[in-house]
Amino acid sequence: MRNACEKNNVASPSQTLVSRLNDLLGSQARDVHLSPTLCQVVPMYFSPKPKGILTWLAGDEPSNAPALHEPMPRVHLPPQLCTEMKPGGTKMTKLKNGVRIASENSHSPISTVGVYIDSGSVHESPNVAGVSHLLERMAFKSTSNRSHFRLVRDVEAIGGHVMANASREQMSCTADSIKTYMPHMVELLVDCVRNSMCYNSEVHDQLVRVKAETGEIVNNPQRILLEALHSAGYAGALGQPLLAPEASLHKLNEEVLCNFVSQNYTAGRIALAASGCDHDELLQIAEPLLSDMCGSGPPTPPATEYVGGDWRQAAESPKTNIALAFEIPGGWRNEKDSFAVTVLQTLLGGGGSFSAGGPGKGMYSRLYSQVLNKYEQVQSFTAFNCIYNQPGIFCIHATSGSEFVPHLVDLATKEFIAVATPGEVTEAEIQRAKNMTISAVLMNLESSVVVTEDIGRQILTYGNRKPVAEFIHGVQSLTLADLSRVAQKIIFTPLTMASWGDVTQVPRYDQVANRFS
Amino acid sequence: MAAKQALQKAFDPIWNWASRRYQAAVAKELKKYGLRYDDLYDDLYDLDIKEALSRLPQEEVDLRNQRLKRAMDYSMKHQYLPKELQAKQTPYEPYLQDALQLVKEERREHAELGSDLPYTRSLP
Repeated sequence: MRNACEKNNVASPSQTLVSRLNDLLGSQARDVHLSPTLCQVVPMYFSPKPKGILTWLAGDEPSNAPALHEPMPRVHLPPQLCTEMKPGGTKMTKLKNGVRIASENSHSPISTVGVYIDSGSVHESPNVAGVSHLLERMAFKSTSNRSHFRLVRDVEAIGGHVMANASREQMSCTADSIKTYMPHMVELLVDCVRNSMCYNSEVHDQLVRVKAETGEIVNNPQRILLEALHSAGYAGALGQPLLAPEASLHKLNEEVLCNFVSQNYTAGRIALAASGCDHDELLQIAEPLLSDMCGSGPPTPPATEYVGGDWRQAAESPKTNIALAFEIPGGWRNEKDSFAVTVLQTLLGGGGSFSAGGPGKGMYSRLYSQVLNKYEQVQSFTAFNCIYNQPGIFCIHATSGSEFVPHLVDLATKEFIAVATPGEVTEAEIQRAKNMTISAVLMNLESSVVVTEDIGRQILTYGNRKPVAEFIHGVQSLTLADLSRVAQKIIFTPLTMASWGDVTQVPRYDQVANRFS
Repeated sequence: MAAKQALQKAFDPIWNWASRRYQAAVAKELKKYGLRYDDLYDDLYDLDIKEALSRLPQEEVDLRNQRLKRAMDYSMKHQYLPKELQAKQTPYEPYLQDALQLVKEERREHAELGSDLPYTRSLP
């Protein structure tokens, strides 16, 4: 095309110079105009006109493309995203060997796939504590088909994202990417879960990091107290540490990991959950990868008993962190009570004293309005819960300077008892808490990662996935009487107390426990 | 190709007999000093060997170093290992070959994908 334009100029030296100048100045723009596809799409706007020296001197005519705020006529636009989006239901298939595959399609371009395994720190034996923590770090290392380097390059080439998380009862490995790469990610995930090689050199590297992490845990007192509450309050499986304790680091090696994996990663304990892909497509890819796994379903759940206890550690810190906790009998398997406990936690709420900022931040929760707004010595006052399959823990964690600690314990006790006494909590408060819980859950479920996790973990706990509407209905039908009944049930279990920091002023365990009886 | 294979097949018996004698001779020398064949791989000669040694468990590396020290000691004194101990030696038992193969595979993979190795060491 450029040759055609040049030919139209008279072939004299000045003219060739002009045309060369023209080329230099306008060549890029002209190349775009003259590109074949755009000419085909909109011929009437981009037909090239022969340009001579007068055009160059006087300037081109303004192009007759329409203004930028008007649509171009006769231009074919691709179809827009559909505007009525209904959430598709969750479909589940159980393979012959017990592996469960479930998925829910979505309209977003991202698809998340996760393998959820019924294996956590409760399944460890006491002489190999910390295996789950190590397995979480070894999740995406060398397999028998790919070296770690190749695995990382594969994930990068797809543009995906992988993560692993180990908790006390379940282990999860997740991978997300664009929908077109879902088959690649499924294959990668299953490869990592089933064929992990656990080379000694890699295990050794990760053990060094675990040791460093354990040394740095002093920066996170909440984590310390959580571990302490479990080890003090539970006798049995749930009392085993989740973070690998220093004493057992030297016992962990390749053999121990491989034994644990072969015993616990069996077919009946694995669920493959996906969000953002078609169920039949997923089955087509995942079934040949998983159908030759052998192994039985989950064994009888390991014995655990809540006994309550006291834990103190004096550490060099200007503040004192304390936590008071009780058991939630029933755990997730008792759905009505677990809904009530979730609403109870939102009702109590709480947080750090520096983040008491504005409505919507939980500022109207009881712990903010009753404690953090009234006593300035309190640095943080939070309620949180950890619910497992059978039991659970409901706890208030508080931080303050060490002289204020007896008051702090009084305040925590008062809050627990207030919530359990019918008549103390108003209807407006509970309605607010219910709305906040429902909206938090729904907002979280907008992310495909959370949806996948929800599907996977529910399948492992309940055997199927309950739709969100059931949760919403359950929460909305809670009454004040329900909440206070559940709260009473909770505080009648033995107390577990844990404290870290400057523990000289922390009152005795039996004194605090007697206030609750 | 076929001619080459036929030729190889013809000379195989002689070759195998010769290689058996050679291996036995090497084994006899190694037994005299109480060494294994894998002990002869020098980690200053090839950095892959150094990396492979760093991936072995510490006990294996310690045993290798002790065997080397014992051999150096006997060599200095112009002596050999006692006969009873020589009878117990296992010169061809491997401990380094798997790790070495893994290291060479990784190096090849990094070169193929156009990346540097995560460790960069060079001979001074």
